[in-house]
Amino acid sequence: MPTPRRIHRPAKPARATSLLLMLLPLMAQPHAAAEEATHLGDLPVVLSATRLSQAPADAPGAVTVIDRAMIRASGVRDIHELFRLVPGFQLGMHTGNQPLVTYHGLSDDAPRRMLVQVDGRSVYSPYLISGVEWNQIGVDIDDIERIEVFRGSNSAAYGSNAFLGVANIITRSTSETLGTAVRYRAGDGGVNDVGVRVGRQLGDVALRLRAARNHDNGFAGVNDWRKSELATLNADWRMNSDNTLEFQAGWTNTDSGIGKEGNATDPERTGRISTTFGLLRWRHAPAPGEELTLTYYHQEENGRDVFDLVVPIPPGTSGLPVTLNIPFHFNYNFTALRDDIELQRITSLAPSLRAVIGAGLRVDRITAPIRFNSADSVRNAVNHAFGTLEWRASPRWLFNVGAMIEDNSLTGSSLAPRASANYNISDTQTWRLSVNRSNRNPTAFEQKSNMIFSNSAAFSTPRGIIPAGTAISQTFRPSPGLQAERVTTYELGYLAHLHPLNATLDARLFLERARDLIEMNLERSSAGLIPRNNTRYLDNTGRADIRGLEVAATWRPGLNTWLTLQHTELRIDGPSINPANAARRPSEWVEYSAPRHSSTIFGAWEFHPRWQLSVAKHWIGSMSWYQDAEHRTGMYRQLDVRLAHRLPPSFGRGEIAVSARNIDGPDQSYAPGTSWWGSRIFGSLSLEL
Amino acid sequence: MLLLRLVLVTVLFAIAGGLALPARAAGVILVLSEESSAFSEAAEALSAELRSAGHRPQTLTVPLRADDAAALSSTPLIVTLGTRAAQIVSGLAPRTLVLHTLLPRSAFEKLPGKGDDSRRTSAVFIDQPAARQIELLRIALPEWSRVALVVGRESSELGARLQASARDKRLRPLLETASGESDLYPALQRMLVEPAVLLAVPDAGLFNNRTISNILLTAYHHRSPVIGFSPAYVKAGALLALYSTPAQIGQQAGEVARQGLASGSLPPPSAPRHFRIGTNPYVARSLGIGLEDASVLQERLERAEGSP
Repeated sequence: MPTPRRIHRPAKPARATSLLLMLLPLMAQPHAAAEEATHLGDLPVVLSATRLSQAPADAPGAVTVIDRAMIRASGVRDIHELFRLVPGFQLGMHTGNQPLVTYHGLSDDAPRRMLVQVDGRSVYSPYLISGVEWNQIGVDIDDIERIEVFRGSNSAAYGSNAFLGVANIITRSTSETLGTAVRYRAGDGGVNDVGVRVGRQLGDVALRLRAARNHDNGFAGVNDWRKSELATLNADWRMNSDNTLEFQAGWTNTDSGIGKEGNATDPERTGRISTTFGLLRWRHAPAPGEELTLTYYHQEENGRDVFDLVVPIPPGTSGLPVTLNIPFHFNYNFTALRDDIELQRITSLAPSLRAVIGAGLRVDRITAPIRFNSADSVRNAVNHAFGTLEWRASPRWLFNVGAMIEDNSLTGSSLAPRASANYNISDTQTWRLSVNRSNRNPTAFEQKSNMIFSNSAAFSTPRGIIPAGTAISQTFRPSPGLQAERVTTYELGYLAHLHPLNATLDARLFLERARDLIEMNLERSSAGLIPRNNTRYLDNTGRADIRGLEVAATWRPGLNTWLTLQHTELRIDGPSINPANAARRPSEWVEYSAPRHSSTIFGAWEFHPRWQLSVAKHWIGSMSWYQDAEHRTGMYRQLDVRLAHRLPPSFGRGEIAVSARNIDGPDQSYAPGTSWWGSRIFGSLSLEL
Repeated sequence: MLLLRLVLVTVLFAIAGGLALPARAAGVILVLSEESSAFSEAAEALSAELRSAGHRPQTLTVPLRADDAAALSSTPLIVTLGTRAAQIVSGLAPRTLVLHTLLPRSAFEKLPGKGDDSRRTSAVFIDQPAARQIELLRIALPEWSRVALVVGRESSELGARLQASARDKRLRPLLETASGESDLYPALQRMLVEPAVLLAVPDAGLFNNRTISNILLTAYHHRSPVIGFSPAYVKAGALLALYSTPAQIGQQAGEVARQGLASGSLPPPSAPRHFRIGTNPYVARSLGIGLEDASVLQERLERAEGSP
């Protein structure tokens, strides 16, 4: 039964009064008639199955949820920094604009074993070496409702790439962000951020427009400044009580300082990456727990990085008596296109049996001439089908089985199964036992990279003139036989939720046996004029057994007051290889690729109705980013403090805050002798108009 | 012998009830606010109840025509379904018995002339009594003591009743008054700083199609369950809902109408006697709330009320 719509736009007062008096008797009727309509009418489905977060006690693995209150209290400007707050994750800053995030180590300066999704859109980039371009994921931190982080592997639900760690970023509902809001942040290190959000309800369509620009100078002494610009549109059309159409579109552009002073082939310069995407999702939710979704998205990423350079080749490298000065035209430009369509159904087969099934296909096309030594685009298509069954056998036992089958045009088909059993020993405590097999398919770059650099102009050598376009040196060669990596995870979890104490305890004891890990190996190459002994190729030579324990205890008496203590113990065992191979194979380095011990305390205290103090302290043990023992970072600590004041209502709705990040001294989080992660203090003002 | 006994029983029965029927059978007029499925469902249940007593119900739907008014004046009982029908019939000031149903208590109280003769005018409301809602909350969520209520101008009396009932049951009611939608969210934010059960109130100015999304999401983000007053609430994402179906209300109105026709006067206005409970187990699990099945809750609430 349709509910009569009421007029809500305020009319101009003067003329409106007389008009209103005339209309009053007429308006009284429909309003009165609507009174029982509130009892009899339909309502849109708001908390659909996919918007509800799974109860930790029901989840088939360990899940950490970072909600909006935590994001705000953490004082972070960038999403990647939030992973400091999740047990088992490592965060390093190669430079101020190149964050590295990984779960349980095994990562070099281009982490690629973790999956990040924004509202179901994968932002795992398949083309370059890195898995997630954190500056390009196309969501403003203030538009995030929560981040659900699955600690562990979960290819059965999310496909390959959900190898070690999955982060699902869920944005705020458009109906919650109506009105206009502005944000300004400024502080040392060149921090200068502006953001504006406009939310409107147009009939049955609620929409949100967001524009933001973030700027900072990066770390001291490094060319790592960054200017990120973002514009996004989210629109939700509630077609009727059962059907919703969601549309999202976004554009992100990041200009940043890259390269190092004095580096012969990587000089200081400005790079640019821009990303655009559009997503359309139809959601049909006819009853609680029943949902059908069809999602399509298109994503396009362009990288611009072109420069000319004369590279001096010393006699030791060329074998000639003189230094050669070879002119190069470096063109690192790339374009990557992704189309993805997926159909998913959530349904109750019986009161105690719930199923999620789905299928989809994805096509990536990557054009990156310098990386693949070809102007043609590399195409990678993945078809997948998945199913999960959740069986609540009794109030005590919950079983969960699932599998995903994928067919990848580059590596063939793979199966990722998963099974778990959750036993509720009481209403407050749950044990969980789970085992799963996950895969990671090699990226197109890992499989097909073929980087051969040629001179852009003729140059002379003692043995004659070398014409332009001669292959000089090969840094990467293709790795055609590369297979998917796989990891088998065994996990014992314990969860306690003590309602009267507002406390939770989450522990995860695990063994992750990763096999066929893809590693960068070195070999001699004579593909160019100047032979190299360190040309890279990738091979499934790696192996790691990761054992450990993650514990998180949280006390949260209110939405804005909490204290959480986290500790992670990790031990990674790699293979022993003979010293002769050690120079070419990095397999042994996995041992240091995550700290043995790391701890975090994160607390927020609303000590007065309008004042909140939040503090995060981290202790991070020594580790290296897939490098030898020499490149291990020292153990370091970080302290972040934030003080926020909610403005009094007479002033408007808003908040003023001061954040002091990493104030206990600079740290080297990537490797000794590289960049220093210094402290930064900035203030912010948010206003809802 | 058997035949004789059968005849005797038939005759006695006819004298006692059956024969008396035609003498008291009456043409009752039902006036419907609209022809939607909910109204038809209520009208059918009502008509069935009247027909079972031998009455002849006749259905009209607003707007009424001129000859309808004449019919209304000659009938011994008018039953209105919905606020609009109640307003129109009240405006005609009929001299017959008038029973209003499928309308909220607040709408009934605003009807013209309803206090003139309380024995000639009565109602079966659509909304649930405050005490029942609070009792359900106590039964379904025994660990929750904070009850959040946001009311508007239209629902302030209901708010006061709910608040009083909650206090009676030793709960801690939090009441905020919002003059419009713009006040609603700040009020919710304030009340739900600590999780509380949000009791939705049937005030169309606050709880409607447009605001429901925000209300449910705000409550959910504050880990607070919502109790609604219609099955649509459960589907939308409320933890549970307490409501009476149009058929349940229609049947009760039919019983009241029969009583009125038999005695010549109507009992006082009443809340629906029969009710249903809907639950959303998915929301319950997501919020970490152990919730009994709807049928168990219903049985316990019925037992608590002492009703069948």
